[in-house]
Amino acid sequence: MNMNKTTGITPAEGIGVIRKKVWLYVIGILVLGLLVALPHIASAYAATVIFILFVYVGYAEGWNIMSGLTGYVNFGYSLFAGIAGYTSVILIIDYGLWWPIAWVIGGISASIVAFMLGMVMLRLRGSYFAIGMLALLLGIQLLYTSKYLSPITRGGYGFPFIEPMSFTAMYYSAFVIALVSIFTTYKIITSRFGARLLAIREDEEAAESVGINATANKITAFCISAFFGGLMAGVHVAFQNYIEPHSAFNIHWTIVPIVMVLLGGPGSVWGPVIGAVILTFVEEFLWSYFTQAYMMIYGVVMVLLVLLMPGGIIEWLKSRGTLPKVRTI
Amino acid sequence: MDSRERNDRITQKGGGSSLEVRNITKTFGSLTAVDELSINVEEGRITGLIGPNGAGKTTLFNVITGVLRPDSGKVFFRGKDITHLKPYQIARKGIGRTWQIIRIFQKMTVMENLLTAANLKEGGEEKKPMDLLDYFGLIDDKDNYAGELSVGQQKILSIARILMFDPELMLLDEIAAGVNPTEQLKILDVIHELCDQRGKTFLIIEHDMDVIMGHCDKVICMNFGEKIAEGSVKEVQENEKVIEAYFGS
Repeated sequence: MNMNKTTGITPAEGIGVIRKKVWLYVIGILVLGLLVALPHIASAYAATVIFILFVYVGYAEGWNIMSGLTGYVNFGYSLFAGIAGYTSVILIIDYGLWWPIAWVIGGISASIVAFMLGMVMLRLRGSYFAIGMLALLLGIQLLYTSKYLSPITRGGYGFPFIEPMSFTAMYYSAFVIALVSIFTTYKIITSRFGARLLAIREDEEAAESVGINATANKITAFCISAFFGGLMAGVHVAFQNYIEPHSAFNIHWTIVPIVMVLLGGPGSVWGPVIGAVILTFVEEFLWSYFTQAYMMIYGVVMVLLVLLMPGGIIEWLKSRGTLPKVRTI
Repeated sequence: MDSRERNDRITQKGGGSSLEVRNITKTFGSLTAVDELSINVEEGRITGLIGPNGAGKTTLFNVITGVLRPDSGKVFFRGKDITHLKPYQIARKGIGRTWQIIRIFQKMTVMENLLTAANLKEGGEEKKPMDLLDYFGLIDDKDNYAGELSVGQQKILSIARILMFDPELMLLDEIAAGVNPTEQLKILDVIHELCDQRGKTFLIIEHDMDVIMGHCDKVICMNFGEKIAEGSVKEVQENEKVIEAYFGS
């Protein structure tokens, strides 16, 4: 049979694949175009919802890079959002830095903290890591309110007002960061580094037996994860217009990305995006119509989804044969 | 090649020591799994490690590969002390191992399983795994999850995976158990090819005596964590302690 050696598909199948690909590109470009034009054509409310979606995509992909791939569930993720948020705000207010530079430095500061914590925490296995990170989140949140750091962090009051920037600028910033986070995830998952991280998730002992330095790989992933969480937190804080320890380190910014990744598909490129899209709209809907019961409904829906689709939507579609079993999805 | 011919060849080659285990003791609480054990694995040969269940064979593998820390004693590989190295460092030194229970990465594709292994040379990225897959007849399954393969294919994949980093010494734990005869033959062919043509060293745990008797250059028998016999297949076969360990007195 006349098969293509690199892909192993026949010409007839090939045309089908190309047609599908063309459609994907067309839809992709249309969606991108719509998102670019959105702040100018849609209502302020719609643009804000989409902005929040971008923030969640960045948070979710960031969490996914570490926890989705290695299986090390990080319950202290918003610790990086808090540290990066504070770093960027302090740099802007006290040192007059330009916003985008402050955000990047904020992301780097979160990475540095991740590196230091990772040296210790990533030697713990499984649930010990998860609980340890949760404890660290609460501890560091407390540290930011304490009098020891208050000359820098302004204690429990934080910075009640940050000079506003234009919503359009924030919208496009969050858009770009979300796209970069998706692209980075794609690059990692399809690389050999990604294969090593997945191997750690599958069987860490066996991974080490083929020469994988598990701790070093986990620490690297942890730093990248913290960087994206931190970078997006900078924009998020700018949008919120204030920062104080309770909101900056709020565990909400840990739980929501985790739920999004689990729903969409941990360890995949598009799973976190799908999870973020669904839950941003569900959250918006529930919050508007069932303000009192919203967290409860959210919880019940989540329990059902995790029970019915343990590998997330992506894995479910792959097992049904709707999606091909490739890592690029 | 019959065993005499094989022995002649080995005498000519005169393999030096690849792995030396010196006075290793490993206890779990009051249980002594490995007791003051010393063995020597010669380069370029296939050494069989036999013994009843619970004799300490797998524990010994875990000590050699750094998964377990011994209470006392030392492990040398090609003359260097590797006792306190981490498992990944020991793998990078050139020791590959497979596990008694299959430990391939189930939810990763066959190709990805190979790509996880270290020491891939720059540039040759796609070629080497493709060669291995071709050689082992796994090429049609390269994009399938490894967990979907048959038990025999999974065992073959676990050998292919360690071959990715081209180890000098391979520790295979019951690699020929639970696979069909064709696959068993394939596995044994691979072992012989690597040993005879490329001078690789093997230490294999097996319960299948046909495999041990037909393919090993030397056999070591363990019982209760101690070495009770060592020598050629024939010598071990006739050793009274070995017979006693297997059949009782």
